[in-house]
Amino acid sequence: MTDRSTVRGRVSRRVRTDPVAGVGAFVVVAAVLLAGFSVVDEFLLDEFVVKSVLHSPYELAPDNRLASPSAAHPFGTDEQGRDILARVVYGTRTSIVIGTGAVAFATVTGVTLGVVTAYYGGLVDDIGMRAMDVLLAFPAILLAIALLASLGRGFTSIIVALGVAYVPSFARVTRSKALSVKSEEYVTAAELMGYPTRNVLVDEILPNCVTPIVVQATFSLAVAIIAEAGLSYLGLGVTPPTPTWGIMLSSAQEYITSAWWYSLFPGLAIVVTVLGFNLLGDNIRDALDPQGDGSERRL
Amino acid sequence: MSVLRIDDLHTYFETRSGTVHAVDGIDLEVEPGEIVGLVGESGSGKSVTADSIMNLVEPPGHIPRGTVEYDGRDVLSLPESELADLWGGEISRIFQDPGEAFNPTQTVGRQLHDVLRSHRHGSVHPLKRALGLDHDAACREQVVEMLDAVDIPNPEERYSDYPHEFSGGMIQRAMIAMALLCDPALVLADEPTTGLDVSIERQILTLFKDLVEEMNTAVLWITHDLSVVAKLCDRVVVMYAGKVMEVGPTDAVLSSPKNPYTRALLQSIPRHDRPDEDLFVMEGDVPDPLNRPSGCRFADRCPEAHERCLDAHPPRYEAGEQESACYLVAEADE
Amino acid sequence: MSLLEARGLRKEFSTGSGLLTRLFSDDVVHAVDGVDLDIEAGQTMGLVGESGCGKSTLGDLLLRIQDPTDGTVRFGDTDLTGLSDRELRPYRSEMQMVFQNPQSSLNPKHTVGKILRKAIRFHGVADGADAAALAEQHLDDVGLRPEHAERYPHEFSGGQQQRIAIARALSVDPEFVVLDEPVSALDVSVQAKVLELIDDLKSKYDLTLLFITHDLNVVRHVCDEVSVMYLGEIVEKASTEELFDDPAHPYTRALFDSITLPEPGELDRERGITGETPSPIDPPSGCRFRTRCPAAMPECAAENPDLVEREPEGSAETRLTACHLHDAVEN
Repeated sequence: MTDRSTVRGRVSRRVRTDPVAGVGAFVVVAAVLLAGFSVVDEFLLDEFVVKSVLHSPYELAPDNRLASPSAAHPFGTDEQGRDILARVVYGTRTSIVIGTGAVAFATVTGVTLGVVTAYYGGLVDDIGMRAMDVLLAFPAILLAIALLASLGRGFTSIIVALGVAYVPSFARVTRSKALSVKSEEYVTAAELMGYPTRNVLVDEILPNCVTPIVVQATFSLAVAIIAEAGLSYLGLGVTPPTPTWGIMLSSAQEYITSAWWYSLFPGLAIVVTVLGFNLLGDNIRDALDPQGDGSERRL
Repeated sequence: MSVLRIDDLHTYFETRSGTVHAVDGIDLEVEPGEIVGLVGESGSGKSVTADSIMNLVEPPGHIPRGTVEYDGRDVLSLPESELADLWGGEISRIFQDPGEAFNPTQTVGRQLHDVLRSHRHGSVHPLKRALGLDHDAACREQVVEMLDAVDIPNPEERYSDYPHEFSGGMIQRAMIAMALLCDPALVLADEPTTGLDVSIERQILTLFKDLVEEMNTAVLWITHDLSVVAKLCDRVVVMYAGKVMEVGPTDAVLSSPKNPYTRALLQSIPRHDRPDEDLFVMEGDVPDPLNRPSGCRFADRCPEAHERCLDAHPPRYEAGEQESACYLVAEADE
Repeated sequence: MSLLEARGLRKEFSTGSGLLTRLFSDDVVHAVDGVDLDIEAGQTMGLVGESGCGKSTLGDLLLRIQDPTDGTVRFGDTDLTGLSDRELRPYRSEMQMVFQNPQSSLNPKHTVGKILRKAIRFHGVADGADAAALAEQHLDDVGLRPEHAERYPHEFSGGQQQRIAIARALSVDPEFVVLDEPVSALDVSVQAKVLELIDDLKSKYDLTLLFITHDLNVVRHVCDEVSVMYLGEIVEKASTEELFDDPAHPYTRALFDSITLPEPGELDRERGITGETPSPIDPPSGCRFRTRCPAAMPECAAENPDLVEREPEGSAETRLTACHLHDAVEN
């Protein structure tokens, strides 16, 4: 059988043929690469690469404050003379790392909860889902803020705070799929073989729940990036001088009429990245549909 | 004139892996008042044939060749509005899954009433229907009569019940009631009793046969179950891999089949009255619909195949009371 | 001593879902309501009944896929009834099942080879490369080829999937296999192939089988003995030949009247069963079949007849029937 039969095959084919899907994939890949590059460049190369091509994102240049875009500074400079392009590039790191971290946390916790509540049902299910309901009662961002208040600022705290807020979505999505998987006869066959419960959950049920979880993850990543920007805009995010898009937006507020480039480029970065993740998520979700190309019909 | 006449029908589906030849050239007639069985296993094309008859084939499916005539009119070239008039009125369909026929949020009686009313008086403004202003007492009465005719006890009360309140056998009867309500000239029954208990199936078949004989309705009954065909149908059409293999009166085809596929099929059915007979096992598989063989579709699994069978799929030859697409029949005459 | 013995098996389900309904609902489905069953080693026992009679649930209870509400199950020397999952584990390789729907009985994310190897290794039948070789051998047993081991279930037809399921069941070298409507979802021509396969493997591996089906024609071809089930109870048990020659219980007779054959002819209106199966939540008092039985008598409403041994004249075999009519005849 051709790779038409696997989700991965369908996704990659759509990416190659459908421009919208292609854009989504491109943006996501670009963002991840930039983030990785920023990490390597900052911590291992002491901003070597950025400095040779552009400027350091940290270098203050008080005599070049709020310079409009030019050849030397394609995105202009901020109120402390720092190169905005470099800061936007480095900002990718914060967004992607926090986003990925939060989603990873939420996935591991939420998926485990989802699979376990679906499989055991009964009291376990009732307690688990009511707990999720409690979390869902709070708007995610408020919940994150409340958690940050007790955890303090910093990368890890934000990741945990956002992660906790997203756990219920993963738990629900996983539980829903796991419930339908549980009723399939291959699960009964596995139990009949005597496989221990943990093995049944991990090796039989979980692999069949993956696709909706992946879709949820890409959408949650998009949400997390916005949330991170929001938190740092509010001054609750990572501490300066780490560049983040949110902090840049917050500082750019004052100069919105005088230095349009300052708010435009970080804002654009957020929009493009979030859009990219959403498009990719759409693509994966559509590829989920096995009848998507109408090729299977009863004869 | 035949109620239904299918001529050289081809229905193909374009997919990424190639063209699926679901129906690959079939001819079929149903005379007024006749019950014809369309028999085939998976991959035979029988369900796609039903869709094609009602012009329900959607892209990537298309009908590159062939005609479907209902009462002399070419169904495949009718505009949407005329098609909509035909369906439910002169041609109705019974499904295997009542879920496909009934809206779970409306009472069964109401749904039958609406079908009858639109057939009689044309379509109703949706607002009127929503407000319940389109209620027609005469239609209601006829619906209750029909529910009674299909042996649903307490039809008056059952009129106001929802589909989920009916048992499997009962909802199937309700579906028959809906199909026969407007006194159609042709009923397409698509595996309606598959999955029902044998005892209930028998009750429903008896009921159905009585009703269609009384109303002189023509029926095309699609199934994989030869036992149903044996008791219900006047004539039977045997399909395999998109082609018709044998056609003829039920008695003749079942007691002296003239096509190796029909023979093989009959011999593979376990029978309690022949416990010592070995079941015939067909080797191989149904040919890939993406890649039909150029010769007789059954050649690679046929115990009687010979060289000539590989050239082209045989045309239908007359053999006794039936027609069989098999070179052996032609050779028997030569 | 029989290989498998069940006594007084009962399985009840409450109909509500959700915490509150479960606590307060009175409605209980008596899926299996007091079943005794004996299966001798090497026999193929057919379990016949219409939908809703509880035959699939009974199969589940015998294999401890579901836990009985009451009653015992003995396999060989061991009472399986009270055992925990861990205690049952060593017996899992002795008792296996083939399910009705081949497509959903194979994990779509595992290759066929992995499905078999996992079972073989888990039960210690073979290790490493030996396990792979054994898996291939079982595939060969069911008429598939070694290269099929690397493919996924959806790449196979229904008949092939069912054969893979059979290979899986046999890969752990079981003594007893329950086949729950194994051919009902398959095309007629494919059915024949799978039935023939089951017959061959049965002798090759000296298996004891419980063949659950609603199709009496199939039973005749495959089974040595037959138990007939109605609304959670077994109403008749006999050797296949005797049951088909002379069905005693009125329900069995009615089932026979309903058998369909591809034989041209008229629909026989007089015969067959009238009405519909009563709800298993509230079965009729006394004999459950009395509401549809042509020979119902007053005592049928009062007392549910026991499944009793009878020896019809001239018969060497024992037969079991649960019917007051036959009590009267005996007396």
